[in-house]
Amino acid sequence: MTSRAGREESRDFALRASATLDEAINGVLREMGGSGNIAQTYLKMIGFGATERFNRTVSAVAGKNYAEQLAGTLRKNPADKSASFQLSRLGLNPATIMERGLSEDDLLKAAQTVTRETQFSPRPQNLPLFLNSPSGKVLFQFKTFVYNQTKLIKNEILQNVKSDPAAASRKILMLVAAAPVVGELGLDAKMLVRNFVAGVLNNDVHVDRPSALVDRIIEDYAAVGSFGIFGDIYQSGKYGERGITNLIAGPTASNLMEAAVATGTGSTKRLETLAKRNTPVLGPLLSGPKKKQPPALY
Amino acid sequence: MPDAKPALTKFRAKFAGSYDDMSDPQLLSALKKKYPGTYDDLTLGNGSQVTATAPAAPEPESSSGPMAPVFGPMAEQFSSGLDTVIEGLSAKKGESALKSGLMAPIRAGQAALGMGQMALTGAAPALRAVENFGMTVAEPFLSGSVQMPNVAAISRNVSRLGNLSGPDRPTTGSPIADTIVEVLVGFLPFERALKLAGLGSKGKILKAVRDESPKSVLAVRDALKVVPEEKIQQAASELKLLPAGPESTLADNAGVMTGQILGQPGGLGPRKIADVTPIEVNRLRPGAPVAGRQPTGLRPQDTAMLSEPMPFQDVARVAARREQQERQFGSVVPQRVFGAQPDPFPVLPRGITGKVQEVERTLDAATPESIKQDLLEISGFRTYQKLDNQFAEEAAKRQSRPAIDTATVEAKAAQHSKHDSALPAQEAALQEQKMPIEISKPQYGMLNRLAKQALPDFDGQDMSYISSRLFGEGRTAPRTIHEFKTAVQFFRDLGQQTGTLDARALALGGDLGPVDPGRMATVGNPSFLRRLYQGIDSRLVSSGHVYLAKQGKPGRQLALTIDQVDSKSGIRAGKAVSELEQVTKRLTPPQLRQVHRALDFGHEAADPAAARAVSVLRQNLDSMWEEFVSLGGEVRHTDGRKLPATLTDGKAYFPHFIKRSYLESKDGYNTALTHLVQTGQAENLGEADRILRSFISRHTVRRFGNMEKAREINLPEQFYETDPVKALKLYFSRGYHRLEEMRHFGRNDEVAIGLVEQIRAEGRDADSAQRIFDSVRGKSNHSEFAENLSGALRSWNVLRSMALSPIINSTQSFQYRFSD
Repeated sequence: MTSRAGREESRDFALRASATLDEAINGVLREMGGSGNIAQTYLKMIGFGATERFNRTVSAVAGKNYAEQLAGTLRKNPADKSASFQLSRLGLNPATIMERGLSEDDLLKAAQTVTRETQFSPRPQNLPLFLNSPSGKVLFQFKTFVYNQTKLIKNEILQNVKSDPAAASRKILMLVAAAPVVGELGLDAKMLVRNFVAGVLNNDVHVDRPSALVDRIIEDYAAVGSFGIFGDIYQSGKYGERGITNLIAGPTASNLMEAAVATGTGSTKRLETLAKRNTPVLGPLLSGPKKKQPPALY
Repeated sequence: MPDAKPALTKFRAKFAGSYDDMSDPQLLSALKKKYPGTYDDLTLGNGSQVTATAPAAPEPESSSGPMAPVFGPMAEQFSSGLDTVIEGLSAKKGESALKSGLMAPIRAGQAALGMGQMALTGAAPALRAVENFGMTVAEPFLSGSVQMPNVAAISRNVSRLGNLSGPDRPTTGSPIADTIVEVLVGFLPFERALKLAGLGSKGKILKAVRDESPKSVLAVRDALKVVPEEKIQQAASELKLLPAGPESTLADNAGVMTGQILGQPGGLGPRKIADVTPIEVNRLRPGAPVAGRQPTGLRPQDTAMLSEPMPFQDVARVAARREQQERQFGSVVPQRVFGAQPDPFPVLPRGITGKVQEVERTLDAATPESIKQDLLEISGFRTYQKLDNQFAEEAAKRQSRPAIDTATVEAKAAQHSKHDSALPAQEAALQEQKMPIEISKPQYGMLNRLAKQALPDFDGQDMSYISSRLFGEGRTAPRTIHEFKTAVQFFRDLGQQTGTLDARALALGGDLGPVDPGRMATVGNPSFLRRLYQGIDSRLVSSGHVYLAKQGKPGRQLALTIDQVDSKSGIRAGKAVSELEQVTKRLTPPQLRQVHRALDFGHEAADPAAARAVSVLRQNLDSMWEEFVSLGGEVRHTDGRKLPATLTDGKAYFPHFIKRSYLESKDGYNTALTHLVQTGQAENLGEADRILRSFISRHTVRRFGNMEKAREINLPEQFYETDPVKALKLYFSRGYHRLEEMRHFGRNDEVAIGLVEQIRAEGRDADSAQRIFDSVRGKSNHSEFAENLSGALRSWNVLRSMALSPIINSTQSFQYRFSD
């Protein structure tokens, strides 16, 4: 995947596996922001579409490589139940593969399966009924990832525990070892960008990551969804009533409730924070904890 | 001039006794005055004075025996019925109804078809009966539905009485519920009537019918109380069923009218519906014995009316009424609930008056054969064929299976029937307490499964035989909870089962222990907790796929099929788009324009690279079209007319996707409207608006409009996406998806609907399965306002909070490491 030709090939493969079809990417954007043009254009503009396409390309190629690896293992040892089981989970028929090897369509199918399992296509059958309704989409906005992540963890670990304990152990180890690293990188990058923009805008917002090790690791795990819905609950607890409302009733209701409370209590500070947080585009950059003022030294 | 005699005879029969004091000329004159345009062309022939219909014969006290057998295969009967209809159409060509411009020929055909559809509707319970109990039990149903006695006749009468509905009325599949809904819709718009009746959705209707008819009757009884009295008075006065006047109370009017409608032998008689109890309504169910006598079918006047074909005047009158209703209540185009049946009444054009020329032109072009083919196509004829095949299979299966050991059955039945001696008294006690005693559908399913374990190849005939031994001659199935328990004990004993079903019985809300009236109520009630659990699970916990997979074998198959459709269509579209990108990636904008012109208008692409791209893309488009046709796909106009399959032979095809940005802007939309008027495609801006909205809606509904809907309007080029890469990417993605849907679900989703019905037959949660399938197919039951509001709120949240989301999103490719 490093050479230009290799990248082109990977992109084309992902496209043929339907991982990066425009309809699929647009579906994700639609799921995130409704059918309005503005939100979709905005998401594309900030690079969400591009990262989604990148993730899907990586997943598709990974699926293909994984299928090839499993097929190789099975060729060497046809009695390998683990390889057989994992191939069937990719939607492939181990017996056929033993007989005639992997076909182009097998590879595409494996790529498609891995992409769908890991990148959560917003297909209606992947979610409960209520989450497909207009109100459910509002209440559970940004939560479908957590739902699907919980499902992924359950499928990957619990299903494998019965049929392929070795694979289950590998996955748990991988989750334990890699997730915090990835989460740490992502959250640090996010913190740097926020603080940098705050500096440019010359406001006093300053984001700090937790310094307590346990808190920080939990945050890292939660960032990549390793705890599924439980991580979300933990994170919500940190933000007090706003977090809990957000968890239960979604960002819209949480926002409305906060506005009602701020208005009711006449707290201008809360209203100001709320207004900043609701500023389109710049909201996440303007709102946040204030930079600590240095102690007066005299 | 047509003879008025048949119409008058029928009119008299319909309102037996009401017009006996009027001579035929008086009656005809009154009718002409009352219904201008409907009876105008009729005259009384010389000496053809029609005498008043004799009063109805006294109702028989008891049944004269089993119901009439089925006459010949249903498919043949239906086909022959169609011939009659077509003959009628041909004979009436150009006559009054058509000349008056009230209806288009296709509509006439549809109206005539409505009768066939009613027979089909009547056949629905029969289909279910065959599935559940086999031929013996089903035969009376079939006999009833094919000859359209009680069910269809009453329904039809009420349709006419209601005068507002006509044959294009959605139906619940239950004669009683249908009848009552028909009464209501005589006064109210359909949706409103359903809501009043507590039957606001298809699911609720089916559920009401399936669970217990009394519930719907009682709900309607309540609903009738809120129908505006003046509506009832007006209708009653018009129909001359009731004396109009302030002394008639609402409940009396509604009650008497409904009572007349339900007034069949052994039925309710002319009583207030407010006095009807659930148990009484229960008795009206087909086959239910009522205090020593049995419903025997039609009253003489019903039979007289049925013997005549529905004349055009009636159809025309219905059409006129429909228009009047639309003017009064706005566009009420009820959604049909036929499931697999294609809607034979697509959106009826408004303002059809004045289209005489079009009517005559179309009628002239139609041949009897072409009309028949159209009617067969849209009528659900295949259902009849399927039923015939089912019967044939059933018969063959019975012939080949081993006979039941009747001696054992007799001995055990004798033993078990002893337990029943105290049951009638207990049932009566329950009835007095108004406690439910009916068996729920899951319990029927459970009984069947248990029976099949005890008796290999158990079917409806066996159930009938065993029920007659257990519960008395003439009984074909257990009816109450007591009988259900007796039957369960019997089958368990016969098959020496040892309590394996107890857990299941408990899950259904009760146990199988000794009869205890105190517990029966909970057994008879479909368990609330079970429904609550299913509701939470399907709506909030399990994904659609997982929930379907929990619904037994048919559920798993449906889930798998949905996945296959997605997977296969995705990969096919991916390959096509990849090819599209390969052949177009080095083309310059002028070359791309050449590709578009070549595909859309058949121009030659001068540039070799563009020509190569055109050749590859045309091949793809052609192969998609061929596949579409081979899967039975059709391109249709709004009014149902079919375009010939050779439509795209030749040369040019390029999908027309309207650019949303144009139509979403006010200027763009207005430009489109003006264009439609200026080019003569619409008479005025109002009509243009209607046409454009209909066009957009038809091209964005769940079927793929670019493939299945005719291009009925022509907009300026700037409205369409002309970039071949953008347009074809969309076309390939959606087109292949639709092709795979047609291949796996059937053109009209018949395979999927069949699986949902299997889920229902197994007593599982078919309603949720249907909702999940609808959701997968993009069929939204939510209002446009709700969708827009939801979209706007989500858009706002995206704009205010997603600025840094790509950073975290980019870590998601980590997931693949976890998955593999």
